[in-house]
Amino acid sequence: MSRGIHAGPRELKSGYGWLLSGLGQDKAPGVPPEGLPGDGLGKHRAVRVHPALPLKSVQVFKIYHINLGHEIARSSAAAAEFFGACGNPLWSWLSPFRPAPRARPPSRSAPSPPARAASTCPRRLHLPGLHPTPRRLHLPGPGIARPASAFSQALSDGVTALEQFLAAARARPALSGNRALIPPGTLGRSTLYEFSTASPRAGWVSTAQKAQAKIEFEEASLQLRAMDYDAWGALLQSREAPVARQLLDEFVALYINTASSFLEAWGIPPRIDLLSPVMGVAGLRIVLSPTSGGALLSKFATAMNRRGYQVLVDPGAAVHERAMGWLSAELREIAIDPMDLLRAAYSRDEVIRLVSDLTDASVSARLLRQSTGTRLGEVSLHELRHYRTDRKRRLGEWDLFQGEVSARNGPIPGFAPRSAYSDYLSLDELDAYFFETRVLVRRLARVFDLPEGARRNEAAGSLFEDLERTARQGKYIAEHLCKFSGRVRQAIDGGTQVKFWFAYPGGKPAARSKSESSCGVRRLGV
Amino acid sequence: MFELQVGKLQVASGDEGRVLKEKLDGLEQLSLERLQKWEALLMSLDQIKQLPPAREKAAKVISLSREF
Repeated sequence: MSRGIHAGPRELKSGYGWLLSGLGQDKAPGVPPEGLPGDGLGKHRAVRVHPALPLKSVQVFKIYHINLGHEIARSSAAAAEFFGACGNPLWSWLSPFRPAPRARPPSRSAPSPPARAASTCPRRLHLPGLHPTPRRLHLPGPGIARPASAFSQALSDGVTALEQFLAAARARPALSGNRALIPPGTLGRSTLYEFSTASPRAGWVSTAQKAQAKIEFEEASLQLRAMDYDAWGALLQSREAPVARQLLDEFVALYINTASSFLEAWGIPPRIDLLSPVMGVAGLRIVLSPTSGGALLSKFATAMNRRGYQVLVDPGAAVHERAMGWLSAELREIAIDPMDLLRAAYSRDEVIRLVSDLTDASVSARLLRQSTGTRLGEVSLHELRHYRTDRKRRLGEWDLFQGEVSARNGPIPGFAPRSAYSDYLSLDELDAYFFETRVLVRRLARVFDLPEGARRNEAAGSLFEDLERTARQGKYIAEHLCKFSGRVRQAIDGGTQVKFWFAYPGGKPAARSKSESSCGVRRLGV
Repeated sequence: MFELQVGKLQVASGDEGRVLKEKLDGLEQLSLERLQKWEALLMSLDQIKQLPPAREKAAKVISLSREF
């Protein structure tokens, strides 16, 4: 907790966005060069990492996280168990997006296996309005877990559906004037999306408009839920990636704007499940765009909060998980052996301790089998640390504020949350950043154990940067928490009314005043 | 699974206020402690960067890792 969440400097350094784009840099000598002509993989093919390659780039280690995720996600039952164990309420929402079954009966038009092997791109996809000329899709190889024809069909259907949806949305008059606030094509860049700073205007529209806002939002949500992430993932790795990104950008912008209109028109407080679909898309973008899901979500939450809503997001692990499923298949397809990525001296004990602390026994055993003798990257550890915190919270072993306390819109003078995210997970982040810092310091020390030379200098330089960034971010969070506690204390002493969010582990009784009850208690998850 | 509570809480006095204050103490203590560590780390990193390459730098980093 992608993660998640995770706005700010860490996101920028740790987003999965560069995962694939940066892989080619990590090839060891002797690795076959680049992709095969026409396979659409380009430099992403045949990426292998030399066991001795030390710490040149952290993306190497993220891949383990991806594969780890895949191993869990491969079995939906195990995945449910895993995330259930982590107490992540988002899993239930994301479960419809579990990877498609491996074996699908081929359609009648499916080519025979030899024919499939000969042609991995059997269909032409028409993208009206964006690509006037039909273009041949170049999908990653034939072994991506489905028969090529069914897979291509899913791609084609999905793109067509999204195209039609967007065309209809474009043709509709804007309901609230919000629709153009996020210009299509700007998502995924370092733009901070500015929503209106006006406070919520419940009742600003007629009943008919309210109904329309609801319909539009529901339609967008349905569209999102219907998306085949495997297919889109493949498309985003193909030569059609620019087109796919354009479509997805437009769709995400539309979705956010539609959600915003809906919330505003109805004057209702946002619920976390309204955000989940956005997070699903963010899951894709974590892998495929320069921004991370955390950053995207944080921007969304910040924008919504500026409008007076209280938006909490938890862009943690489960969000990444869905993206990992197909990406892992991609990695296997391009013959990346996870063990190649992991073989090196690292803090094995630390990983094992963390992982075994993390999950229930059955999942733990599987994770341990994979992590033994290997290492994880610090970013993965950051996320795992969040898992661990979540689990401890669920078990009632985390007794300090349960990681959560945040004043919002309350009368505490001068309190201006940077974003929903930074408040919501501030204590969790404090813990995770501290852990990450420790890991980085130790890694740095290990680098200085290496013989002097260019490789060491390069690794040390990169680690220095990571360490400084992490320490600065941690320092910021710590300062934020100190100030926050001071203000709450002041409010208590002064008898001021304090409005805040509290999170408790499941079922923990909380003393509720009348005013609290009137504000309601919401249970997250299912 | 956890609950999220949203509420206005009157904590002028009583047990509720006391419990909240205790939690705040813990939160503040932890935050301060880590804040100091991070500040010290950042200072050390600055110093290390000023050092000439090779052994001195290595020694400082290794010592840092023991402290942290």
